[in-house]
Amino acid sequence: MLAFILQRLLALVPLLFIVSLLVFSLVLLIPGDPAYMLAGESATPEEIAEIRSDMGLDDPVLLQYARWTGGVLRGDLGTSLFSDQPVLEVLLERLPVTLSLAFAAILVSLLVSIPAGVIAGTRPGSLADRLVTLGASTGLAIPNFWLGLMLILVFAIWNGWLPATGYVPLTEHPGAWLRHILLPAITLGLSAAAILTRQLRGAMIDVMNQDYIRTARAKGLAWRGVVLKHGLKNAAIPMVTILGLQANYLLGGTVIVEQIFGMPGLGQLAVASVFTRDLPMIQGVVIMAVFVAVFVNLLVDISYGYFNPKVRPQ
Amino acid sequence: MSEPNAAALDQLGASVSARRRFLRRFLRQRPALYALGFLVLLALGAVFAPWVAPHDPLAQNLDRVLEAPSFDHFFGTDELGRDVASRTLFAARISLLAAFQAVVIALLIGVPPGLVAGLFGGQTDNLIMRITDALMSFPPLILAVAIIAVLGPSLTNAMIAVGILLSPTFLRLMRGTAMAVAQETYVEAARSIGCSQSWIITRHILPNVVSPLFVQISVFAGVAMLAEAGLSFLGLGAQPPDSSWGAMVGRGFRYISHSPSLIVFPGLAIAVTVLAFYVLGDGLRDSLGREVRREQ
Repeated sequence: MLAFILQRLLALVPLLFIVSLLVFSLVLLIPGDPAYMLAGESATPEEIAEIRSDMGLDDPVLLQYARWTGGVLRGDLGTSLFSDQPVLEVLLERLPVTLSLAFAAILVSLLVSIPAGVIAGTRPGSLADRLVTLGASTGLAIPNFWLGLMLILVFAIWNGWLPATGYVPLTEHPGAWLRHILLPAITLGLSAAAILTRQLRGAMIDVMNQDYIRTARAKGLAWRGVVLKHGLKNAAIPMVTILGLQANYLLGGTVIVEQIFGMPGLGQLAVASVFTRDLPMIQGVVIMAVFVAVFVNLLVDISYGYFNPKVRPQ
Repeated sequence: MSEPNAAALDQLGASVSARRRFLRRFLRQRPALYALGFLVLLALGAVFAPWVAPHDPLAQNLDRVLEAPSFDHFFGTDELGRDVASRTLFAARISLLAAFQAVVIALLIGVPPGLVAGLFGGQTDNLIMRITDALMSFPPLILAVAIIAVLGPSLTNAMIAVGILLSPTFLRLMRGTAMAVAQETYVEAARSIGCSQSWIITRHILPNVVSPLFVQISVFAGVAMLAEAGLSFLGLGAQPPDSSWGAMVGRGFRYISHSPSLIVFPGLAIAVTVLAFYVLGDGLRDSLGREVRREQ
């Protein structure tokens, strides 16, 4: 098991190297003079020169890259061009918001997809199955920002049951946190729920046709026990992989959901930084997001190796 | 250049009958046919919008702002008294075109390196796949926002970003097919009688990848439309005076408590169109032969 984890960690080195190259080269993609563009249209020549020397834009590209990566490795992601705060400090302030949103969304997606997938997968072709399949397809097609607005309309504006915007940290007031996170989590989690439901339904259909299910039934086990213990347990293995893939999408989705619900997370920061042309901040958000995504996928890989010994290296 | 005609004809014959089988299976997929019909109608409506739309989408009427749907204005009016139904129809032009643009960009970025990786293998393949893996480890929308931050907010730049995000899937699909086909005996035969690499690519590999590629294109048209809608909603995509469905929802957001119809209708338009692309994709997938489907 330890060898497996080490192997996975080693595989990350080239991946993170290429990621760092890609994120760094964002500066090179800027059309024209980066310092001019970052300073904005009303900047004086002095301000432009200051940005140029701050970011070392006159140095050779390789030197710039080495300096930037060196900084990243030491936890120095640069300084915001907009607020002059260290980028890492701002990111760490906002990370818990995004993580709690993504985590709550995963919870929502599991709470929806497990019952829906089991019901549909154990009775393929039934009315319930068709309703679930249709619901899952619709869930995939509905834009999440639109779903969010509809939820705000119904639950916040018309009924006033839940707050439309804002965020309260979990550590400050768990009840208020839940009330604030509920609508955003549903907004973000439903498309993941749709994907997981489709996946689980297919896996359940496969598993329920296996001989060991028939044997379990034949020896007189209750239907419920067979479905949950023999069916779901086996069908859930591929779900872990899909959940890992979904982690990326959920992190991406926070960009929109945080904007709608006015949550001060990484996604909202990314969008705001586009309009303030705060490139170091955007690079920081991307690095942080990739780091979280890679970490989650590492956990998924490891747990997969734990659940399914066949994938462990011999 | 003299090419081996017998082998070519054989291959051609096989692919023609495979295509006919595909068509026959597809015509039996009722939901996919409805979806295709809807998309064709939508495209026609978008192209002929100036003649079909009930009102001028830009004509303001400040006496009749933020009205609820009525017989005059099916979808109501916006904050400047413009007809939302006509604006939704005109926005279909931008939304459809943007999705098309993103998919074409993704194909251009993804297909050639996928082909190279699949055919040449070895170090080239290794390098290309490493870059692809890295690209796929980015949370998609965050990468899109970063690319737009650098290039500047505009619809074209947003679609370049979305195209980059979608390209790894096309790359993997191409690579997988190219690798599988390159192992086939008929390709070995073609190579041994001296066919050029380009002949093998155009005659053997491309015909085999066309159908799975169409499935992916249909699904990705839906994905691209959702991504465009999201980015335009954030103000990072379509810029005024152009308006896509996502941009309409974004502007309607401000008047959500007063006139929900401003966001309901463009949002429904996105959902129904994206669903149509997905259903079409599902139908295409189910029409593929069993042997191809297994590789999907």
